[in-house]
Amino acid sequence: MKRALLILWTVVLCACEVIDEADRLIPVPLPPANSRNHVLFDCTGFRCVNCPKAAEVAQSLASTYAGQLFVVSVHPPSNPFTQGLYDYTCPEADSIYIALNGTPSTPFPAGNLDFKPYGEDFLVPPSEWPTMVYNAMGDTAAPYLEVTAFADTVKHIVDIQALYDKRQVRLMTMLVEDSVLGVQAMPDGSVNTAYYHRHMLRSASLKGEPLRLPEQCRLPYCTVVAVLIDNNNTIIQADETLINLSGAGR
Amino acid sequence: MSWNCRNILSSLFCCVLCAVHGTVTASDTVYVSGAVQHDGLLEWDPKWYYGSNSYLDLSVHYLNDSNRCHFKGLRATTRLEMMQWPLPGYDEDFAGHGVGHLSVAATFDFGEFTVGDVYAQFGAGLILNLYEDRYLGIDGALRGAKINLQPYKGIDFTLLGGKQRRFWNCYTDHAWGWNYTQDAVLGADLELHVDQWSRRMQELDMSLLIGASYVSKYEQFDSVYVMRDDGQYIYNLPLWVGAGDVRVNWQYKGWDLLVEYANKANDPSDENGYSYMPGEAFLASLSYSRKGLAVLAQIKRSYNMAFRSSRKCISLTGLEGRINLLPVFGKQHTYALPSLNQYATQYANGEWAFQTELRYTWARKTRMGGRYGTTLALSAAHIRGLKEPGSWDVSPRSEGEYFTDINLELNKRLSKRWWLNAMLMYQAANFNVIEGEGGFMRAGIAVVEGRFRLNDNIGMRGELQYLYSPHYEGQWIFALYELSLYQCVSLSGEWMYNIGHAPLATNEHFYNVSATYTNGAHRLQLGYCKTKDGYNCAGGVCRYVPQQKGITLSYNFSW
Repeated sequence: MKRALLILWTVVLCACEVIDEADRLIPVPLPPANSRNHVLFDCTGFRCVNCPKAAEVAQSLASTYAGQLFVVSVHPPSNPFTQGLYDYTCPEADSIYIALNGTPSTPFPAGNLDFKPYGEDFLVPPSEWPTMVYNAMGDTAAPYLEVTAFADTVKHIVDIQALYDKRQVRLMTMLVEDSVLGVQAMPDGSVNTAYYHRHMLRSASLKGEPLRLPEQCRLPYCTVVAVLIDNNNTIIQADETLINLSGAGR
Repeated sequence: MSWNCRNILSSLFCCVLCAVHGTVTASDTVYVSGAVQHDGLLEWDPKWYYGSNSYLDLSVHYLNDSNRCHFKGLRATTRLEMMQWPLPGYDEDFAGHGVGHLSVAATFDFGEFTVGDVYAQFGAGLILNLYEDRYLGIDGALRGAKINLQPYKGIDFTLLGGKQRRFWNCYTDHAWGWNYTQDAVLGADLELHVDQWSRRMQELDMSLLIGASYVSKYEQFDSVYVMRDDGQYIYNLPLWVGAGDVRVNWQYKGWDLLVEYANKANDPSDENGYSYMPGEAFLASLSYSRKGLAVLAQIKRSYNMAFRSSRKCISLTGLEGRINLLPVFGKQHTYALPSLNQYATQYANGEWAFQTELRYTWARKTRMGGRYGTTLALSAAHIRGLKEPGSWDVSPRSEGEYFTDINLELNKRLSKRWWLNAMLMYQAANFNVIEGEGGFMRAGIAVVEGRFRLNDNIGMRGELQYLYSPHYEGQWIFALYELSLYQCVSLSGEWMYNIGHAPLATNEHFYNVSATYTNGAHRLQLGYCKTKDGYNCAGGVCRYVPQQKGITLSYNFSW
């Protein structure tokens, strides 16, 4: 008995591992580029002080995996972080947010990749995003998708033309505006009134129908992110395109 | 969770009970205790939903009355949890049902051995405090074993180990929680009661306790990727993280001094942004009490003391998997408006916290005490950030204030039938730090509570509260009336209104009416409420509760 206790005591006391500063990071090669693209949904709000840091993580990932990872910033009106004097929300943001199991009590920032659960949750904190994206980059199976978008500034719509195999998948499109000048609570507690919101979701269509083009959107800063969704409601391919002016809108 | 797993656990428990009954002799005592709790909420807007948390606690105690052997008794405890649709605000990962707790403890005259789910606290809990708080949705039990020994007079030794419960993880790995290949927590604690070895100290009625603890957690390697300007990396994460704690507690003639220091090795995690800096916590507490007077002064400094059994946040509420619990500073308010703004301990960022309290009771039949006596309490708590990460300097006044709570409370019995409790309060809260949004708020609060007892069968209680603030949600008013009849029926109504005139004012009404019936150990409550969203806090740990509107049903029974 005494010997067993002594062994246990020794194990408890010895159980600590201190990592030297020089050994804390292990470099890993980027996964080889392939034709499979992904969408990172960054659920954010102007009252969330930690969201600018999350936006930096998302932007860093989008730069690293340029052309393979598209970021969509979702400002859901049902979350208190988006509610107040300024409104960057759209109804479609709530539809996406609720589909990701987001609730009014979900703390921000939170993100999701390709509508897939990560672990047991759909929405995970930004510290998990690099791992989540890196692991997803190994997916190579990618159906063909090519999309073009035309804006009709008279009807305030964006027409979508997409090439893809319509069997077993459906098309969803999102209008995203970049560098929207606005207000944002910052990590130091201050309020930045000249903050550039990146990749802000402005409207979306679940069936690939023409997208609503809100009046405040600046077309040169807008893109359309189109995704293919399979029967499991997960994104299996994505594409992003700039918006051309259609004849009616010129 | 699989049903097979649950059935086997239940069978095992039954076997233990049978074994206990089989050894009972005429001189022994066996008794069963337990409790049933059900809390439910029926909502219909925007959709029909009945959320409920139900618990069945059951304990079988066997006391060996014989003095012929060292064996003193056996205790088997289990808790059945049914939360298929948890109440709003509870983590969705709690959804499910099964045996949430199961333990068997054998007591000897030299200690106690526990197998199953164990709870423990070392010192003030700076490095280990495993507890259950079902109102917050926390169960930090370790599924393993605990040995508590008193091998010699004045020596108290505890050794424990196991896998920490995180929601229903004991079922998901198909090993009933006994699989330690993924993560485990080990701990040891030694307390020396020096006064028990010194006759002089015993004569002086002085006590001196010296304690030391060590806790280590194991977690398997996990690839956590991080982006840097020069490429992509994974963190070299420590598999074992250790934390140590030393403390001294001295008591003498009403004086009580506690000094405790804890240090934690590098523990990169989600909560601290994968910082490798060591964690530290320091706590000093001095109190004095004699009849009619109590004084308390406390100071705490902590940094990077988020100590969890999982380096990743399993859920976004972040309540699960915490190994330690830093003592909270600031009064734990029970009144509605003061508890609107509560403080959540900053485990990762760290904090400097100061607290003092003075309570004085004027005796009966004195000038100040009046006929029945008067109690006046003044308490203040002030919490600030650290100047820099890991620094021992307090952050500057302009930007580092996290929370301040100063309150003056008067408690007086006015007559044979009337009691009065009044409180004036100042609160300041940095919601950007505490909740992640909301800015800075300063508020003044006044509370008056009166209780009246007409006779043994009829009593009533009323509250009026007012909160003034130009910030955040602005001014609030609250009123409550409660009528108790025949010691078994209680009718209650409360109303809260946001007066407005502030940036986030809502001008919204909130209310709650309820009826409670008590009969012996049974308590049934039925109510209708519309409650404000906010944080439900206990011990510096907070759970966000969304706004609720619907019919509440609560039933408790214990035996």
